[in-house]
Amino acid sequence: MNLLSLCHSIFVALEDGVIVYVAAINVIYFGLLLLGYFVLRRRPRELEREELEVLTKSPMVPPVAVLAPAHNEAATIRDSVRAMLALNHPSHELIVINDGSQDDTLRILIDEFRLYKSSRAPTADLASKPVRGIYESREPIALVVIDKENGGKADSLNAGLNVTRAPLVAVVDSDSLLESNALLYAQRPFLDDPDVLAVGGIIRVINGCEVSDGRVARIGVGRSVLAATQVIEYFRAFLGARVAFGFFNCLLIVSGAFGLLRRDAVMEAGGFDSSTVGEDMELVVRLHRRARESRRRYRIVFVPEPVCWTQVPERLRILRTQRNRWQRGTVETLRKHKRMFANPSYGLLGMFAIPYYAAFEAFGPLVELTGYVITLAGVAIGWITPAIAIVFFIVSIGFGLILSLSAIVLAELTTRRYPEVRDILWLFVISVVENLGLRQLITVWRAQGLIDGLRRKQGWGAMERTRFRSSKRASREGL
Amino acid sequence: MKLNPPENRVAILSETIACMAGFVGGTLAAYYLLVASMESRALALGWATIIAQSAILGALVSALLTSRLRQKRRRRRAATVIAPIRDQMVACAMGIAPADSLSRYNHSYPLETEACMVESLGLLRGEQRARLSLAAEKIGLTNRWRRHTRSWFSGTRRQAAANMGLLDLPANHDIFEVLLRDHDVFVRIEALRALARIAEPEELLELFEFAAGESPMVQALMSDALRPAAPTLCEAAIACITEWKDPGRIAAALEMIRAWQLSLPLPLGPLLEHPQAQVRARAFALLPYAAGLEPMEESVIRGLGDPDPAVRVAAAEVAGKLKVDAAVPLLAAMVREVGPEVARAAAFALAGLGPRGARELEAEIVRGAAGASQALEALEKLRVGRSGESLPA
Repeated sequence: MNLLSLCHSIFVALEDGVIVYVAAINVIYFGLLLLGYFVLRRRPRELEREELEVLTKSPMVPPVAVLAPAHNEAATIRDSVRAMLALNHPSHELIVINDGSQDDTLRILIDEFRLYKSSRAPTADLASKPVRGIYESREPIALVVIDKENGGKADSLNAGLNVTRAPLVAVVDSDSLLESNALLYAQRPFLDDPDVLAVGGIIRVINGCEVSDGRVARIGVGRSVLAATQVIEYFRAFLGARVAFGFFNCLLIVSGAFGLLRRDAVMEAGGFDSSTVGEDMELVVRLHRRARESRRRYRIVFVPEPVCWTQVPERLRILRTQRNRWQRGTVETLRKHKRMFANPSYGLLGMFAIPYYAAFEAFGPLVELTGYVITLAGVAIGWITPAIAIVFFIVSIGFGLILSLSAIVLAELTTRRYPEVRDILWLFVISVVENLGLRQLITVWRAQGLIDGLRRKQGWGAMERTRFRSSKRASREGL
Repeated sequence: MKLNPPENRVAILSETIACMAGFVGGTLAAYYLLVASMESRALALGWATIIAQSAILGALVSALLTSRLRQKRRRRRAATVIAPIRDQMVACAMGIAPADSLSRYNHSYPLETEACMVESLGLLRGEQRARLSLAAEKIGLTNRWRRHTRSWFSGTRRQAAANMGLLDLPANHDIFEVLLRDHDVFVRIEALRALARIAEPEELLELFEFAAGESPMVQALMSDALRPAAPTLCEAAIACITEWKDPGRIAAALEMIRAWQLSLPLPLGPLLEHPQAQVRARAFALLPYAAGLEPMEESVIRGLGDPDPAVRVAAAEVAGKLKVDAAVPLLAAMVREVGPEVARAAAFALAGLGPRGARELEAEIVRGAAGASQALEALEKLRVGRSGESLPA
């Protein structure tokens, strides 16, 4: 009898804990989205077309090196490099790092861009796997290819940092597409404020869009439920949380798919950490930490204008691998910088951002799963009435729906990029559907990622890439 | 730049807190209404939350639909009214129609009238623009823009400043001077542009000095806006620049002048010997445009011996560009320097100096000088025909 009442007490405490947690996480998420909306509404207007044209020709805009690690990208490398070379910027240099590809990536680059093995020497010595050769083009194009042994993305970026001399480096995925003015938009905060250390740009999902000549010709959502779900997820993450964290100068992630960093600050911090799968988040947290410890004025900024388009997984297996890796990356970073947790000497970063990531991003999936389990168990045992369970399930879905719809509305009111109303309606439908199974499935994968992270499991996992969908016109013309 | 200046931060936080309070308050109100009729408090709380959520969802959907519908309505209306407004505006500009004949349109279609006015003012010059400016004043557009320059929203202030800048009304001078102190960089840029358009020649120099003290982006955009006055500004600025106290501002001004890429007789002598290294380096970068006033070779040779590496790099680049043969021995010595940036600049300069420079580079490679790898790189660039390009970053 005593054991039963003890179990009941534990159950009630757990249930109350989960309810408080779910309420807190949803209220905070919603608050961040609201904050994001008001920040975006009041943000300074961006560069206009004429100003972009002036800056594109101005010798006063400092050079930027675009670092693009490539591993077995033979299918897309030619188009990606051409697109990146064509970006609007007065002096950008593209550095492709061939990370021990086993396919024809290097051969294609050598043939296509008339590369020769150059004597260009590294200017720094960040740790990276041995470099087999540095190639430059015989054509008047600012392209450098570093051929090195396989060491992962962070290792490749370090090799690129060693070779470039530009004061700013843009980190991109070689299979992503940047909008033509993305570099200038991202560079703008650096041109305005010498204290800016890094700028994160918005990443959008390319699945469902039509691509022509290395540019997104028509924006769409596509019919894949999995891809459309991720469209909403990206909106939620970028337009809500990141804008809001940027507002407090607590931005912890500058996405590895597109970010601009001050080279001297990165070199001073020791470059990218090859031992983690979340190298982008880890570096940004390290930049924060170093700046705060040395009591320097600094800013890490999120700007919603620069758009980088990326492919998201359309297969559950690949999505699972990706989410597991992201979760491990978060856990690894938080563990490495645990000193900052609830530490007032790091200001809002230590007292809010890091605890938020630990409580809601790292351990969130585990708590959510606990909630599902105890609710089902409670109903089975009879400690929770089915009516209450259903109501709370609806509340939970309602919060998810609010967050998704807020994100869609935010994207619509601020960036207004989907020309077709049916795309918006489709996203509405998806924001309901995602709560009925997919969200729970992703929670399970993330919980698995958390456990793997705590067990220090390593490995990147495979990411499947397909060729971009060409526009009909482009296809007709055989482009 | 302040992306979120204090007054904006307070407003943003207040708005967010107010909305959150509305949500929590609404939920609690619904809870107190429901709790009496429900079997448990948890159930009442759940339903109360669902009601509050439904209200938010309704608001979100309506916001989205309203935004789309408003956009569609605007487009449809613009398609029908823009043409007659434009015709009337042309008539006003030509002096055929009275200035206040646009009032009717402004009353019924304020947004379209404003858009047409901005477009027309941007296209017209001289008397026609003056007439249209007067029309804008008469129908109250100017007053609206003046009001908007004090808006809480920086985007509105910027647009208002840009619109005001199109007017041919001297009375706006004071407003632009106030806008020069705005925390938003784009508002300042619009004010600077407007002032550059209406300023007297002597005032242009003040604007140039102001821009040189601003962020690199303002400098880049203003160097373009001031380009029409560049020839006179160059000479006037170079003459008085040495009196400026801030070396950073002098260096920025020299960079702005270099961006004009004008070949002018600029007396750079005092700047090439300025006590601040950053000013000397920028002055050397300007030397190729100084159109024969300075004894180039002498200056370059002196620069190559400068104690500051940044100045030596700048002088080496000039030596390569201007093909100063007398600099070859000094450049060869610089290739042997430990500092890779200096060695590299010297190696690329030698590569630009033709066969003699190439021979020196080969000798340095054979000798295994400190900068042998830089020499090899420069020589390779020469062999593949890319030595003429500006030195990569």
